[in-house]
Amino acid sequence: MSDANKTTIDHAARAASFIADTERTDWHNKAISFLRTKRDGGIAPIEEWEDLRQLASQIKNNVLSNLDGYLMQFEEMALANGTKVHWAETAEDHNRIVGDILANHSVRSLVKSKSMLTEECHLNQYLESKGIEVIDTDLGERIIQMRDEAPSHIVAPAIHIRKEEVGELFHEKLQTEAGASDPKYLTEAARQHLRTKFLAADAALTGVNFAIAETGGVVVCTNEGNADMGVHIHPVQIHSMGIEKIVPQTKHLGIFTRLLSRSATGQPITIYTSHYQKPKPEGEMHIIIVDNGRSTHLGKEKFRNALKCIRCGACMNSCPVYRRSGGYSYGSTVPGPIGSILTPGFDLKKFKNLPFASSLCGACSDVCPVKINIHEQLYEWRQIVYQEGALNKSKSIPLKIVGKVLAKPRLYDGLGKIMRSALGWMPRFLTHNRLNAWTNGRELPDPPKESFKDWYAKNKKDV
Amino acid sequence: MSKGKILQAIRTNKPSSTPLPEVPMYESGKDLLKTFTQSARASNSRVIPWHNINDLDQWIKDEYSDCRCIASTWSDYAGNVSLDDIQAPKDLHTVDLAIVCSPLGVAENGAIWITDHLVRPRILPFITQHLVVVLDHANIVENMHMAYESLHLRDVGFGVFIAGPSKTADIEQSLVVGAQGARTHTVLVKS
Repeated sequence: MSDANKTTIDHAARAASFIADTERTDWHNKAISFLRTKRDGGIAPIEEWEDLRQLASQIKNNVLSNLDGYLMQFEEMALANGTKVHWAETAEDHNRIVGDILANHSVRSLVKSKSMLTEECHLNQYLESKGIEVIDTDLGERIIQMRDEAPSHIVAPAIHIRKEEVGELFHEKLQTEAGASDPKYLTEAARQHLRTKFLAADAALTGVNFAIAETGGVVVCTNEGNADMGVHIHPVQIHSMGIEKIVPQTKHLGIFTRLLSRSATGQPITIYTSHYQKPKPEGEMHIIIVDNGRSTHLGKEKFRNALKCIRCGACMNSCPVYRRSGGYSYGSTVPGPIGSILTPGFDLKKFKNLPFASSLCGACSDVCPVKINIHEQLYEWRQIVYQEGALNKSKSIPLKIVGKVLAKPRLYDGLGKIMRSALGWMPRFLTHNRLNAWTNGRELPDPPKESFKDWYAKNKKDV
Repeated sequence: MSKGKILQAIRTNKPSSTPLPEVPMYESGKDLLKTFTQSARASNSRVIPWHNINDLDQWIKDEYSDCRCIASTWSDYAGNVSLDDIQAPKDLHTVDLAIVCSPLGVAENGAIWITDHLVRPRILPFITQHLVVVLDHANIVENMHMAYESLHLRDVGFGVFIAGPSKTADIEQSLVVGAQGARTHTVLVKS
């Protein structure tokens, strides 16, 4: 990403370059819509679906309101299980803790299963700078790792890449046949490649879907089995979790496991739902509890419930903007609607444009399995961006003018009259130009002959 | 030090307490075996009633004729890998077929529960090329709420729900069975 280091992410510009390839945009839109369709099919047989969403939302509210107590309970239980628990205030703390654990065991090669948290912390780059080989073992993650890219979707990280491109990549990296693009063939090649990596590594690291306060264990959901292939082969296992991953009791997993995979891909459950409770015999189990800005976000009353997110991806699959602008247009680890309400809380200046990358249609809130009011928060963030004076001039100046005009009915009437006539004969360049983003890709409708006010005044007598 | 700072920040910033809701069981009285079989097949598992198998040795020879290295943690079948003599979990990478016992199946999604009480080393059901799971009909529950009610997580070191063979759709969303874990998943249901 060329502008990854610039201070502000220009979503509109990034989206414009994405949609320049119309055919690929359509393909991407269909690929993502397919996930949403599968989600709809997956929830259809569950009569209590709306109940489950409500319960999940209430449980997560309870978690956020007692998070300190649950984290302490979780640590106490984990320690009793023989697990080592670490606390990391920042991404740097997290990476240093991982690095220290690996150094203590002279680890040269680490297998990792999918973890958005380690993406957020840029763990791979940190470890690689220390000379440690890091292998992402989820197929999609491995593909983007080989391409030196970040995930473009939190559940399907390589959904933006076509099979022919994977074929070329594997031909170069794994010596598959030139021109081969059959997903079955390519997946088999990756299986053979990853099995050698699983066997050769010295330690394994996973993300965490749920951390159970009552038992001190963590739950990881995968379809490929890659988390378990790593964790059980090696003596050292590390699980990195954000502080918000807590569920209070085992019985609450019944709700979240039913919601998560159905919301993500329409599956009734992921193929593997793994519960790591205690270290393996003669093994070591580490859990790293990471804050990295979450506790600060918890203090933002209007935005705190974004921390209820269970990372299913349903909001991005439902978002007409995400589907047609791709994950990279957001320039954040978590893209899409949920990313657009989380990231401004962590860095308003960098991510101030993301709350505007939405039509506010509300599809995201409708599908959210933990009932986060995503589109309302997008709207709230827009107001904060405005109040902080961070709105782009192309938006703030017209809005100021419009505000003044709307405050004066006579001025509004007069200008309306002028514009209804002027739009008929004015040269096109006055409305369609570089300064007016509002007419980019849009045509103005024919101006009406009279205003609604005039029409109403005339016609109300007849009623 | 980090711990204290994080907890203090949470205490300062957290919202006022809200109660935990009661979680119902959502029992609907579905035919458990029928639902289990349908769900499991939908995620590419095979479900075979025990009474269809006359002779287990012969059935395994017929069904898994290519499998030379067979590991079993089920007391009724010996296999030819001595799991007690394994030095390191990775030594099991040559296992073609693993046969394990499950104490719990879930009708709504066709998943079976495996723990390290019955299956050791923990890597076995993942590293094997093919997996056969023996499940008693009486141990099938309707949904995940009931499953979690009965599995006593506190008592296990590791437990996993497995709902089918390893799979991926990471290349253009084409479903491919046999990603990193077992390539096939067969449940033998005893009644």
